[in-house]
Amino acid sequence: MSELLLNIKDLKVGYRVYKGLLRVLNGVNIEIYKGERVGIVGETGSGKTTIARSILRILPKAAKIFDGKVLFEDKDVLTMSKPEVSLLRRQQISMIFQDPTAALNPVSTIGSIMSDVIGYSYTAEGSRVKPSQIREMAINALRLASLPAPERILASYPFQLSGGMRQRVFIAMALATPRSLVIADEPTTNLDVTIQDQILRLIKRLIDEKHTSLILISHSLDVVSEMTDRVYMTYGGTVVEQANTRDLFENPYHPYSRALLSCIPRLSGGGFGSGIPGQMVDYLAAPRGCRFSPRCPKALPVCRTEAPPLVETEPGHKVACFLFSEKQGS
Amino acid sequence: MEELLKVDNLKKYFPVNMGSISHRRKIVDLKAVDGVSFYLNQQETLALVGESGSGKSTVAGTIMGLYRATGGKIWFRNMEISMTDITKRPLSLKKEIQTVFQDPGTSLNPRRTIGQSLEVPLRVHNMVGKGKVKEKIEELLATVELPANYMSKYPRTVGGGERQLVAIARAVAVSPSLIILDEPTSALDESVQAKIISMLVKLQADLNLSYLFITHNLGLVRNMATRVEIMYLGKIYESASTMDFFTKPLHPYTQMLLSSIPVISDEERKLKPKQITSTGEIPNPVDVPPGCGFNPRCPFKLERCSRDDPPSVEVTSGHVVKCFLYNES
Amino acid sequence: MEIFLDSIKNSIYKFSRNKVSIIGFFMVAMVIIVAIFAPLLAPYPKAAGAFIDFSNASKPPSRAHFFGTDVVGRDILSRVMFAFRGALIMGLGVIAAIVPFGVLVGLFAGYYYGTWIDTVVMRITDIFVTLPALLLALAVASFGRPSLFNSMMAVAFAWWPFYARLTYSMASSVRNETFVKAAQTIGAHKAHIIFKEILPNCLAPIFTKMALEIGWVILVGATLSFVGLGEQPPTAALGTMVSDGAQYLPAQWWISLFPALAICFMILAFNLLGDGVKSMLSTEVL
Repeated sequence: MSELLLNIKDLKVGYRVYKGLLRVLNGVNIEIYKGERVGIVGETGSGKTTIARSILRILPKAAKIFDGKVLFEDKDVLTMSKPEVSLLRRQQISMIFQDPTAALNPVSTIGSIMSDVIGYSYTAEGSRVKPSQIREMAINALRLASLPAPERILASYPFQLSGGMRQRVFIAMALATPRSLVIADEPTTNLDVTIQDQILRLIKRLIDEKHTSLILISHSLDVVSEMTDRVYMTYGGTVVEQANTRDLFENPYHPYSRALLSCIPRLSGGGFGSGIPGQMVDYLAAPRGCRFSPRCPKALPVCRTEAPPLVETEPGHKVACFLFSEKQGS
Repeated sequence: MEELLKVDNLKKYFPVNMGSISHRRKIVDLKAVDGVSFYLNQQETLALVGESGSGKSTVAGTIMGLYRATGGKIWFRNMEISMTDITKRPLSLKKEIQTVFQDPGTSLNPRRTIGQSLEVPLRVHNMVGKGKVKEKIEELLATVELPANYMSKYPRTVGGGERQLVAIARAVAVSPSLIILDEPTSALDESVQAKIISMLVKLQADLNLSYLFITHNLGLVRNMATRVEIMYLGKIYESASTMDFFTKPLHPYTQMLLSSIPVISDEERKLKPKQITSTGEIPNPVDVPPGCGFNPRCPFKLERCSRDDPPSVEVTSGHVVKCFLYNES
Repeated sequence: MEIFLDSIKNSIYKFSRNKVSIIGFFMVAMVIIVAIFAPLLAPYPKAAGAFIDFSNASKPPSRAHFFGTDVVGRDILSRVMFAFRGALIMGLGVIAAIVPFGVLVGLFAGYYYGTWIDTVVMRITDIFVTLPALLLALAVASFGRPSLFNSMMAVAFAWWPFYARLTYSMASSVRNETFVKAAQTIGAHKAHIIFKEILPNCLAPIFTKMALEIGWVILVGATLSFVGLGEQPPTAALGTMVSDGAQYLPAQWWISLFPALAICFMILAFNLLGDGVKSMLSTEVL
């Protein structure tokens, strides 16, 4: 494996609300290597978006970071000064959002949005983009994103483009200047399958061409399965299982991963499970031990009192479950 | 099997003003549905599949009576219903056709409790005597495996999946024979989707229901539907039994659709057509290309595809496709 | 029952999330209590009517008369306290009369959005909107004999279209919601759809507007009494008191200033309350 790019260590983040404190992330560990495509999967309320926002430090006001580090090239993003974080966002990390319509200002042309973004960014040599280069870079970026007639797109407003084209523009913008990490938060959730396929192939191509790392955050296992090398399965603000994508989907260990995978309707037929009983974790009163234990069909007494450690069941395949830990085995 | 619903050459056009400052009024027909025919047998699940802009929801809306058809006929148990809109339909017909909408967050009134929402169909159709309404609501909640105390909760305070279960309970409250499922799980997580779909499958068997299942999720179609209709730009491009459809997809659009679906296992990957990759986008329905609607995106396009609209041909028994590639055989 | 208590608790929380609205609530409560118990609370209850005490005329604020006295020697504080009564009757009475009417008109026009019913009803409403509220009120008030009731009638005439318009815009968008379609496909009756499905979803902004506007109605009422078209002397009315004192400005500033401040106080109180009502009625779950 190549160099470590991003290392999230024991991250604990919560939100203050009227009823009390929502303890969402409960010790999340994630490593991203250079040039790698990593998926963070989880259902609504699993805390995956909180992870993404912590990396860029764009958490809402009510959020509170209790503990942990987000090391980007060995520097902790969480303790950086504001100018340093801003430089990080302009130079190193970019983000692709779920809804490009909301992320593109409707009263500006694509050209002016792109020149703002590119104008604040840095070239491969590490210098600020010169105003004279901006237009050329924007056109190049649009062309790379397979958008026909880039000049015309620069002159148009977001509403004049289709949903798929807007997402292409957004991706072009995110990758117009060299980045070492791209975070894509549900990039295709609002798109039709045939368009989703095109967008995913585009992201994959651009990421690979530019040797950028990708964090793909999604609730759809199938998209993550097609796009990534490695996967972190999250549940209730914890990583329950991590492995190579294929390993995890073909041979899941954690009872939650198994239950979730059995819920996916397969193209090959064969029916599917009847869902997972119970509710997603109530973060006001999260279970003390394993957060999945109240819904787990195989829960042991120890699961309700202690948080399970990550156990390596096979090389590179780690599971946070007592069913596979030494404690249980002996 | 008895035919429950029959749609014959259904058309629904919406007038749109394409005018600009220079040409002030230019009314154009948006042909949302342009000659759709299909049938639905009793206790069957017919999947109507299409991307956004394909017109599948308009077909559903016309059957529900929310729109009046521009042309064509809809027969429900030998009763012609296409020309009556919802306010003129007899109560007995409204009882027979129920709908489960896509987003349970908006299909339940946020200012009314779950009990109050479930009460409406019972009262309108006099399903039970005055004193027994509460009892019946409890029974309905039990049918969808929800506790009785949900009656006094407001929709916003329960999860999305439970809201959809309430919507399902409301639909089955009047013992209908046809339920239109308008993308019932597309706003939900997969584990919740599985719960909803298995509930629907169970209810279908218990209550002899027929489903018209509007969706874009082919994985669900594979596991749930008896037959499949593929819609694109207001027309049906392919129609087959589920088994036939997934093993021998014929139309280039269908193949593109199948090849675009992300999957999680090698077994599924093998099923995806390889020779076709997704290109282009669905055109604006106001500006449909001449000839076959799919021709600008089609890799197997023939010369006449951009000139004539291909007729539907039955290639094998029950497998109909609208494409010139299968016209000669 | 438990759920009922819970929803009350939740409403109180939502209301009090905005600290300023609590202040508004107490200000309104104070005005109402003072108005109801004016005869008991006022230091010189006699000052409310035709009372003359030239020995104390035009006294500046002092220990004995916190707000001073007017030209005929009446205690201004007492008169302000009594004047709250008329102002509150004006504000609450007008709102209570016009809201049901305006809402009904708007609701029907909104339900029949795009039909001739909508066109006719809303154009008639528009005609009322084009008439300047104050002028219309002046016209109506001067038509009959000036009195509190007539000035209320006048304000009501000018004010109802705003509720019709608000409800209309709410109803015409709520009628497109899926739950309305759902009720239709179930076969629910028109009356059910209008009053049970659409109306409850229009109420939040209506209540907010009510709470906010009581203050403005009071102001218009005060304006009418300022020009002599409201409550007639010797009954205490804030507008009349301001106008009576105006001729002695600036030397005897207290005669006008304190009634004017009382008007400001009431408007502020209802505005702050309105903000709280707005957040209380939102459906968001916290």
